[in-house]
Amino acid sequence: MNIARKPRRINSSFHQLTREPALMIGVIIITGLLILFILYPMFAAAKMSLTPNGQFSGSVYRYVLTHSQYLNAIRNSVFLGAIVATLATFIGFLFAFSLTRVRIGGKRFFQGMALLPIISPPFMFALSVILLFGRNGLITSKLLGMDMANIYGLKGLVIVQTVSMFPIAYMTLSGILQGIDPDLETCAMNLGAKRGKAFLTVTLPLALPGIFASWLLVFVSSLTDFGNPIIIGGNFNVLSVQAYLEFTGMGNLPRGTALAMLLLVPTVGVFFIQKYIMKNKSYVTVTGKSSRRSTSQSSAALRIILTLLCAVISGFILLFYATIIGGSFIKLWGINWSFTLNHFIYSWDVGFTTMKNTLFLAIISTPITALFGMAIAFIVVRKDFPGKHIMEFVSMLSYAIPGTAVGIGYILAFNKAPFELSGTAFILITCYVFRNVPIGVEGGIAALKQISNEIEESSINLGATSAATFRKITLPLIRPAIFSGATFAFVRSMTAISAIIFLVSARWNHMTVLILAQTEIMRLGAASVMSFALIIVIMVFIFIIMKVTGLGREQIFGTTK
Amino acid sequence: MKRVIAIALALLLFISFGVFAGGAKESAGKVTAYTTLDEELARKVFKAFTDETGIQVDWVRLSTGECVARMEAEKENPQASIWYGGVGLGHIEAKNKGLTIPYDSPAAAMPENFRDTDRYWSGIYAGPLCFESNTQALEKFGLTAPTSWEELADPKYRNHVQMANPGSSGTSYNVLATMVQIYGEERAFDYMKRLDHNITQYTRSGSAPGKNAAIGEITVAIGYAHDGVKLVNEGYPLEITFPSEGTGYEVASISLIKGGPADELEAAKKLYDWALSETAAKIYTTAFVVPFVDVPLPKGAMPISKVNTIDQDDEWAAENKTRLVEKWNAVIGGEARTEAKK
Repeated sequence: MNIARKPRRINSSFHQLTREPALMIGVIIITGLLILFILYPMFAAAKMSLTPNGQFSGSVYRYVLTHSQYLNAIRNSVFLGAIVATLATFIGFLFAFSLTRVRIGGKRFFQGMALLPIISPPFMFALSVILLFGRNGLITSKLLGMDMANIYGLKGLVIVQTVSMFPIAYMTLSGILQGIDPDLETCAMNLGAKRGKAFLTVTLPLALPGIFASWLLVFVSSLTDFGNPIIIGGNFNVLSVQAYLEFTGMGNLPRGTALAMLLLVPTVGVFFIQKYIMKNKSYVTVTGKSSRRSTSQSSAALRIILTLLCAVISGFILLFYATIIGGSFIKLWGINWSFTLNHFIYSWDVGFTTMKNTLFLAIISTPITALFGMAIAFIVVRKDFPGKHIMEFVSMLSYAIPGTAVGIGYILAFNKAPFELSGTAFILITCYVFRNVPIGVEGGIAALKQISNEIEESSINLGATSAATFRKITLPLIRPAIFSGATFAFVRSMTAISAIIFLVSARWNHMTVLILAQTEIMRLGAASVMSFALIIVIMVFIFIIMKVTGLGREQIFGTTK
Repeated sequence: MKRVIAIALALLLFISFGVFAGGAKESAGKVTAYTTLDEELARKVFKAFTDETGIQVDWVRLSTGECVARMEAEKENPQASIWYGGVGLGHIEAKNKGLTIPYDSPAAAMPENFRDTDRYWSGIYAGPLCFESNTQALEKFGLTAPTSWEELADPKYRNHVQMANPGSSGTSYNVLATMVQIYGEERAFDYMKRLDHNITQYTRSGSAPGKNAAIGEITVAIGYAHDGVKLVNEGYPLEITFPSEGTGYEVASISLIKGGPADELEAAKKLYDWALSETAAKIYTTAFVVPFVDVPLPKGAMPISKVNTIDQDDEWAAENKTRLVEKWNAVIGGEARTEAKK
């Protein structure tokens, strides 16, 4: 029966393609671009790691998997990821629970604190942790009088990754928690359960898939993080840094590539699991219940405890930011505490062109990413054609590919004819666009699925052309999703490092790479100024977007993960 | 709708700003350079060159290992025309890998042993390896500055020493090759293993340990003397000592990259010649390096003739690099390090 039905479906979807030539062209172009810029670089990387001497051989992987320095790196990465995922999920849950289920004070403030790390350069926290807890750290050396504080390594990494990644858990979990009807808890309590028991037997089990999903997401983020470990990893060797050193430092291209490909295994695995878990959870909030109060009764004691915990964590985050701002004005941290503006002069001198280029590339790629993502989402949701699910899958796949593998794949794929792109602005722009396009696709699909076909159909029935329908009906409804996607694309372009460190050139450098170089030569003052400047630029951009579009913080940061 | 137009206009403004800013620079030609000179020195050098010739230099600073790796990765479509600075044996490695081209510069005046017999690379300055110790930290921990390689490996310096990773840093591979030349391979690796107990971190770049010692993040660093002297002159509490067993040295060099952008070749040659000139040499000395051109040296600059150096064989070191680094990786990197040592 199934077999008999299938060809007819394909026939009818082919039919739609042949009836709408514009759609066909769109599908062909999008498919071509996805293959060229997502699949082909991965193929080039796989080929490099499997043909070290021109012939197919698994020798590189065999070498990596039998030598303890690489096995250590793998073990370290997994170990770190597990710790960070657990801590970050816990803190993310704490924030999400406090902000959605319990009426604690200062809600907007805490929400802001939970979003702030997202718009910060990737290793900003590593920098301030060195300033605070390093051997010359403000806290370790000056306050505690410790001589040999060693923050480099696992300890430092756990701190910085937890702080910078708990927002991922927060965003995932607040969506889930909002979707759980508070009446369920009320019922449980009416039936005699205590608040704690209702939480443990009703709320927690319902939130469990979300908790698991957010754990996985943070785990993968930690695994693929490059900026923090290269600065504060010390001798705690992790896979992403090892791949980079092997590839660019030692010039062992096959082995560096193989290490990056090893990162791909857990990330793609998690991507599948996460998709499966979240499959039926993504659109809960659009059932019309979202406007409903999701808080339920809670005791004053609980409120105070949760407020305090959130306040402590927010205090930490603010301390990190204050340190960066302070570090910008201190002559020589730890040695000479006098006030100076020299770091600003130096940073202007050294970083102005790079900042301009970074901003330029981000601004070019942002609308392209948002529109391209929306185009894919539109086709996937509204049209029917063979291979549609594959298109959706491939466009989302680049979410799961670690930056290190993307960077290596791009440099291998686009460095020779017919694609001589290395060293150009174009390669950086395409890298941003295809790395960030899943955000646009996901947001677009979610937004379009909210809009019933019938609304559009009635518009057409009333005599509007389909172009007018799109402009007057569809566009206004998906507008928040487009701008939300654009904002995220912009932020991620401005704070990218793991992929683009392979692609920057003398002509097109990136702020994050420059900041990394300043940190490495211990110009921490200049690194602070540049990080600070980057955050300001991002904030100004988001502010402009919000003012111009009239969208609020929740709409910008709420619709996508 | 007005808003959409406003956004579109704002975007257009930004884009044109970027495009014009990017395109306005074309003048007397340009050259793209990879440099391993100290970031600050590089800035001065390229600015002086542009001021003098009008030729624009687009440059990026990479460590020696990174430069070779990048040139190799870009072999089929090289992005830069010249590699300026960087440890000599990296330049030999690049030559052996067929990544550079010969150029017999009319400006070359250095002693014959500091340039390639086939004219692939030319030395621009030399500097010996040394120990840089933070005097305040030494005092605090009751230590004295080490005066021999043996002393440096003594347990009293446990967690007080930093050096770079020989894989990514030419400076650090220079250390490894020096040890092999002093001790022979087997004893050298035994030594590196003992030294490893004292090391807190292997940095990516060769000059980072010295900078860490300057600001007290570490007590003793292994690095080049000129980097140390420069930091002393900036007022950092550093003491520079040389190992009694003899030390290695770098011959910072310059090479033209094979197949670089064709329209840049002439400008690249000009930069090459200029790099060997007296004008350039005077700029080098501001970073306390000792160029092969006879120019007045600032106080504290340390010519290799004044230091007990080993009879260094860079050709041998370059040929054995992959093998020795691999072995170092296996011996040192292979040790379990789940936590930075206390």
